[in-house]
Amino acid sequence: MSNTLVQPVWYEDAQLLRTDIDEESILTKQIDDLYSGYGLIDHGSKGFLSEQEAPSLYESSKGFIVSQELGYLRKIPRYNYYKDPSTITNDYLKMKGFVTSIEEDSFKGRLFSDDGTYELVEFEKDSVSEEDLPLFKEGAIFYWIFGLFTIRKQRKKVSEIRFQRIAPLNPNEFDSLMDKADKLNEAIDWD
Amino acid sequence: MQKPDIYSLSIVLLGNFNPIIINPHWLELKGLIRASDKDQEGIIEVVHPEVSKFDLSFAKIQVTKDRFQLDCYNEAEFILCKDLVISIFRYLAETPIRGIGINHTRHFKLKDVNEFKKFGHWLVPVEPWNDDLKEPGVLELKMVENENPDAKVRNTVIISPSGVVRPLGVSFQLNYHIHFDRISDATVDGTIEKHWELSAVKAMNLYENILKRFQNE
Repeated sequence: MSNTLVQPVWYEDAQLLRTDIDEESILTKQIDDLYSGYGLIDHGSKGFLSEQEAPSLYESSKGFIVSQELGYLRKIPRYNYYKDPSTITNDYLKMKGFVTSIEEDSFKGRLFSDDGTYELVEFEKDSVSEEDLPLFKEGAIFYWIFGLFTIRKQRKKVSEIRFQRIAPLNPNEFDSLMDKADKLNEAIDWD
Repeated sequence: MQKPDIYSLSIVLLGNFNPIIINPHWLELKGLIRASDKDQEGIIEVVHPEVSKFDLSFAKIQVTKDRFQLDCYNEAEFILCKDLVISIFRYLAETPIRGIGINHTRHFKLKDVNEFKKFGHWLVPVEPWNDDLKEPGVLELKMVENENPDAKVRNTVIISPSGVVRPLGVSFQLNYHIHFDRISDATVDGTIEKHWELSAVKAMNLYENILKRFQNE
């Protein structure tokens, strides 16, 4: 973290900072979104922010968080959302399934495609991450992600099993879902 | 149809948040991420009462007092992001939320400078500007649906040069904004579940239709 003192508390200063960065449109969008997001100025306005209007914390266009604390501004480097995303892919297969049985060295599961069809699969137990072992049991939902990923500019084949991590429904939501299921069940004519 | 070079997702919630709560350690404590998802070099940029900002292995998260934002560039991992946001707001169910954005951005490359310029000029004709501006060009185009006070969703499309696919890259973004405060008895998880696929299909159709119309010119 840097403690460099900085001046900009005005939108116009943020605009000026853009000149040394090439993605003007992206940055303009960031500025506008951030400022309008904070409710400080109307979208597109270039007026000064008064001290009262100035937030205790905001982001400048240069890619820094600027925190106004103890009467001075602190500049903290931030990552740039728009440059060099660390992991990308557009060539992959992703399926969701659940564990049907666990054998000594392997486990079987049912994996569903987006079109609703499914296939029965068997994976080695070793393919389950140690960190996912507490979730690994019959009936557990998992994702299988397979594809060619670009990870920090390196192309890698990836095959990963990840068990679903999701917070439990609260009791009210659970009851509501059960009510819906009951109504649906009653509406079905089993004949 | 041209496949995007990068397809990114951004989930945005507008409301009132307590940023300091949402940090990698809390996510791990709740079992919502693996420890290794957070054990990356320099992931925590800042955790502060007014902002929390950090990287996970599959997403970047930024929370301020009025905005929660998660970004993911890896299409294969969007599903993990959905589970994570749903889970966070199941635990923080009392959080006042005004709106939810499920925003899809496709970055794609055009074949040469001529096509790049042609695309911009096709979107916004420059003729009306030629007399007053020297070589006018389009920097960003934002198209919005007419605001309907009864509508639950409002779509906004933003087209601009891409910051990640360069040169000749174009960013095509759909902001699928859900007016959460207009939906009675809504929950964040139920709303995201309901609109997840709808937003993705809408974004795909818009992208494909616009490019198809351009290619047919």
